[in-house]
Amino acid sequence: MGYESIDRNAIKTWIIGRTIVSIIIFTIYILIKYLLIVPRFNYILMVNYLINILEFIIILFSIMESFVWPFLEYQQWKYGIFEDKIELIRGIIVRKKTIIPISRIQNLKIEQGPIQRIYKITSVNIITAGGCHEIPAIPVEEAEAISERLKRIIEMGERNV
Amino acid sequence: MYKAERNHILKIFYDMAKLIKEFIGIVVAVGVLVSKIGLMKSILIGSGLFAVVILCEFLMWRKNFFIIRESSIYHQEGIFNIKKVEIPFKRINTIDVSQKFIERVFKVATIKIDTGDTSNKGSELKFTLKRTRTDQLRDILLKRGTIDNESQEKKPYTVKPRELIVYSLISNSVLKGIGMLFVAQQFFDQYLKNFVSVNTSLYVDELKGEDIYHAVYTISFIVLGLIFISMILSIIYVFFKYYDFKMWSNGDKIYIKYGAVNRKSYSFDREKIKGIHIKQTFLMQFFGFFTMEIESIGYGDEKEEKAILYPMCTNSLKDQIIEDVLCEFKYIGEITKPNKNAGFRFFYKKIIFWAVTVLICLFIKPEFAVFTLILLLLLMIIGYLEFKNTAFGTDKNLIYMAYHGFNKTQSVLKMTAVQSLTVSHTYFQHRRGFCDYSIILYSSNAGKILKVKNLKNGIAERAFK
Repeated sequence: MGYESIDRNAIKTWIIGRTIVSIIIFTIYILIKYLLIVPRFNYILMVNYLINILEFIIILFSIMESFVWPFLEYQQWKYGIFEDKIELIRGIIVRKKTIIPISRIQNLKIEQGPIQRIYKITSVNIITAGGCHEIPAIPVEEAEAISERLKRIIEMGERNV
Repeated sequence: MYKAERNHILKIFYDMAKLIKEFIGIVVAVGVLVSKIGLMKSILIGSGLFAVVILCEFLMWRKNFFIIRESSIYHQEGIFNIKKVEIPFKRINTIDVSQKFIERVFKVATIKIDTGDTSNKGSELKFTLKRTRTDQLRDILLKRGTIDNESQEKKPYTVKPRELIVYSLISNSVLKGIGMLFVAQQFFDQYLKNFVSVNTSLYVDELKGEDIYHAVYTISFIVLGLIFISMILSIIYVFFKYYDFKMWSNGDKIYIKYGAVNRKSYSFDREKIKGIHIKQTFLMQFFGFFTMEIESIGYGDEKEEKAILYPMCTNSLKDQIIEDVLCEFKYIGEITKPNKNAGFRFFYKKIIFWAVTVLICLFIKPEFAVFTLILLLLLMIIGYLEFKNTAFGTDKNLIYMAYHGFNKTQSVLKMTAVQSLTVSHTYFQHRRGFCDYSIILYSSNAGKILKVKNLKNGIAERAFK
């Protein structure tokens, strides 16, 4: 049992979701710019410069976030379920590896947003007493299989104790 | 058979006073109302509202009660949404009894009962009862399950007044004193301005008129005076807070009592302590003193309250307390420190921060750039302390972490309290074989995260189970 990747459809859901969010943020920015700032401070040169720089940064970030990052993120995301622990590996610039012992798991939550529903994938939340860890984008059948498997492992562990 | 018990009648008035304090704006609005619709009508409306408030408070008081049963407490609360809880005695984690000043006058006390449930925000049971009853209750709750009682077989650990004064000087409470001064100044600004009109700019003008040395003298005198006053304030504050501090253990229970005006007393199961934190401020690191705190659910989650185990002790006393009271937290395993070549990693972010500040300064006013050297020195000291303090280690049941620069914290935690371990590294860290470790703890403020940076790769994963 090694590490497994998440579903490939994750890329599509990320692209769609993040594009929507970027559009919303950009609309708010445009509204603020043309309703509040331009009519009042247009004559100050410095403000103009700053606004243009800010605009550039926002556009750059939203393009990166929506169209470049998802591919990299998909490549990095790995998870592994072993008999005594779950490991999650993720991160593009900062690589993170989280280890959760099975005995600490309190419950599992399977969640499905509207975009995820179209592509028939779900995210599995592993909840411990300290916090919540998410595995995004797993096919529905596999998520159920995982929760079944975890249940069996936990039951086995309890019997041994 | 089982009697339902309610809050002391004082609680109604206390809550009402709190309510009025919170809605003082409405009272002001009523004043506006008087001028609008006439005195008679507004008095009618006001008294109507007041009656409703009193009725509400009374109903709330009436519908909030608990019953002590054979082996559990039953608690019911609420008028429309009724909440019923039954807590078995076994699950009780912390019991704390506190007395505010007013409560001492009326001989009542507040008892707070917590189980180790993190999903439930705040405490689960909080009642104001007669002093004798709270003591009795605590005895009942603690005695079930075990046979011991509160008798002081062992000598309690106490803090002498002299130590308290030293503690208030070298802990961060001097800063708190300055904070208090600031608050006081705000207060006086608001209320005194109406009566006395002091124009501070007048003094400033006077200062400008005199020669520069004189001005420097005056200002430094004022600053020294302020520091002195804040020191005195902090001494008084700490003295009143930790006056008559007592801590003792008895079998598997630990008891803590302290306070001059607001008297607090805590008791909890030793088993349910998840870990200890040994903290040192900058001056404490210099003089070799330690503050001990514990990690236990239900203790230290209230406002203005630390999960204190012992406010100030020397190294030997610290070891003695651990040996004596909390022997399961004695860490003897291996401790890993960051390598020498990792030292730079503690500094580079601070240097970047400093460089940015210098650039901004050069743009605004070049003369200020000299002052940023002080900032640089400070950042360097912080970086050095962080490098020196960072440590990490695991043994069979415990995990040891030391982190922070100015406020050094050493944490010894039970492995079972650690919920997950995250190992993270950037590309550069990975190339040199370093990584950061962060753990999530089982604690009352959900998701408490502890982090140590730039340590050798692969020292934690195997031990963590």
